[in-house]
Amino acid sequence: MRFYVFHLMPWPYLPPDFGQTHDTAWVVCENALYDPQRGHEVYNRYLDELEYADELGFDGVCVNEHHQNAYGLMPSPNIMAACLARRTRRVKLVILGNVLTLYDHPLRVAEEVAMLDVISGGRVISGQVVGTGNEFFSYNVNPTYARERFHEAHELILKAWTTPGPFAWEGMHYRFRYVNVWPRPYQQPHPPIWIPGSGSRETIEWVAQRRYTYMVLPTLAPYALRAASAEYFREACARAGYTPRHEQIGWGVGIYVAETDARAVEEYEPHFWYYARNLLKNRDTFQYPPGHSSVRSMLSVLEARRTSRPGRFSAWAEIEKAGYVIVGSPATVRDRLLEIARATGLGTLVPNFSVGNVPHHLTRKSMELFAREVMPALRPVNTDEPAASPASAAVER
Amino acid sequence: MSTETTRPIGGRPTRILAAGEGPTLLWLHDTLGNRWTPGHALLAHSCQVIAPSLPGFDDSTTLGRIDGPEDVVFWLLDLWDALGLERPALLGCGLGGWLAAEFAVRYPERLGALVVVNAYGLQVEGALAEDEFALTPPMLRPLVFADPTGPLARDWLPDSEPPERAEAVLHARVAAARLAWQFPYHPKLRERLPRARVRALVLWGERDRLVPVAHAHAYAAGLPDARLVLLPDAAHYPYLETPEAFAREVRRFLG
Repeated sequence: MRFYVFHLMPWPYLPPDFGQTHDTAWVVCENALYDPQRGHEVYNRYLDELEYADELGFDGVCVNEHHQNAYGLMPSPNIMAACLARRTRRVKLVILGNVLTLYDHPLRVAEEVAMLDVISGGRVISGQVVGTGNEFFSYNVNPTYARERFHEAHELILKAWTTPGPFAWEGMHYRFRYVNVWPRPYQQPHPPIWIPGSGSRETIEWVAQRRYTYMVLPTLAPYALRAASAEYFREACARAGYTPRHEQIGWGVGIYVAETDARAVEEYEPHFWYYARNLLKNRDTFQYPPGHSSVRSMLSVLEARRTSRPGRFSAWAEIEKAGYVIVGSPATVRDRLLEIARATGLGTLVPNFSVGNVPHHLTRKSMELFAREVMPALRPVNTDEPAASPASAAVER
Repeated sequence: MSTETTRPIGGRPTRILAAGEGPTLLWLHDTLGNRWTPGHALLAHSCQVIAPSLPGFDDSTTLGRIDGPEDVVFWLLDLWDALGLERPALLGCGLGGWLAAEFAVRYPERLGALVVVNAYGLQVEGALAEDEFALTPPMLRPLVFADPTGPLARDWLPDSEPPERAEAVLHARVAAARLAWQFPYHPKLRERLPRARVRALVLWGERDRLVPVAHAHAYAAGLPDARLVLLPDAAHYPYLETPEAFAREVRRFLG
């Protein structure tokens, strides 16, 4: 198993009554709540934490893209990856991911990721996403084109990396007379590709066919959904005629480790609620704009809501029982992860140590305990045979 | 009651509601989709009301190649051919009103009369329409219904759709968003309005806060032969909220 530290870089200073006074942390959540002086300290603190992951022996660090919100402060993940490229020496730099649909110029993504790959000497993993519903409001992109724009941009970027230029691209959404990206990526044929998803079957099938890594996000998802996605992914790979490598099965998950189980919950819980009650606060309209998912998927979302109301948690016991996060002593976290690894074949773990407003010293402590007392036992589990060319980088046409 | 048929129009299966006899009135629906309303029923006493579903509204997987209002105008030409329409009155509500105006500025000679009702379509400075895709039903009801707590508002815009209507509403929202996402207008339509040389009625629920009444005045000022009538007790849906007053004004105009 391999370990890639994830960060949302949330805004940790929302007012205590935010949950009562606001219906969303996105799109229209007023930016007067952002304080640039504190923002300076927050960005540098978060970058320090990711750099610390390099020292602690994690395999990679992950940045991601969200716009106009308090939930995640990386409108440009590539800028964050650039900061990290020169301040780390060893870790993979995972962009998880670039929101392809937002760009009328997907070649910009091809260029920037190739730049990062060359600067870092081939340490980049390219995550590519459709984007949350919110981003379509913030960037005025028509969500009814979400899936076709994503797929076309993906094909264009891949071709720009792997086909000698110049060539012309005449698509539905993008037209370029001259595609001829300088620099070409350091990793050949191209950096590994990870596709995050939240369980949509269409996405899982596609990722399996392309032999990419399927990453279950968001970090706050119930265990049952993760396990079902992993199972469905394995079936989809079988339908595509192969057995997936462990590294193709990835999970983003909130993890917190402290000296004892009791202490872990005590230290973590208030910060978790900051996340659940403030940062996750959102309008359905922003989350599910028309056409962003197929009508079929939307109907199953509505059906799931009729039977239960996830996201409206009130008690810690519910969170633990449903397995949204993994919190406890090193032994507890290790045993739980071993159990999960055996049950699901999970090979790529993407822990988020700084959920909500977990303070810096606790984030560091949790990372240290994880690196020292959890990681070593998990490393030999679900490890792939080295491949001549990594499966996740293979181009299947 | 209306009859319902489905026939191919421009290669797209199209559901058409119709009732009544007399001069033809072609009704283009709003973002809620193609439903027979009290306004349709009252007008069917004196007209042949024909109400086609706009492309993709009944099945959003058939939206391919519909990327803007002009594509719908071409589809309307197919509709004219398929139904053998001869200078019908064209009435459009909300989104349908925008599309009716787009047709009228290009093919006024194909119309007997034009009626635009609380229509999208124009860029009016300082009066940007509210974002219907950003607002939840409880936020939207006070903007689009004069009586936002009454049974009409709760039936047409419930907090969550009843299961038997859920799928149809989702398809309609996708088709609506394809055309009306964030800026439900064409920035050049206003300067083109003088080309719509056809008798026109601009009929507006005055209490509409989704598409403010400034848009009614802009339509009335831009169309070369327009009468403006404001309905004081209705908001965005006069054909639902005050159907008698709505039908009376349309009838009076059509003569």
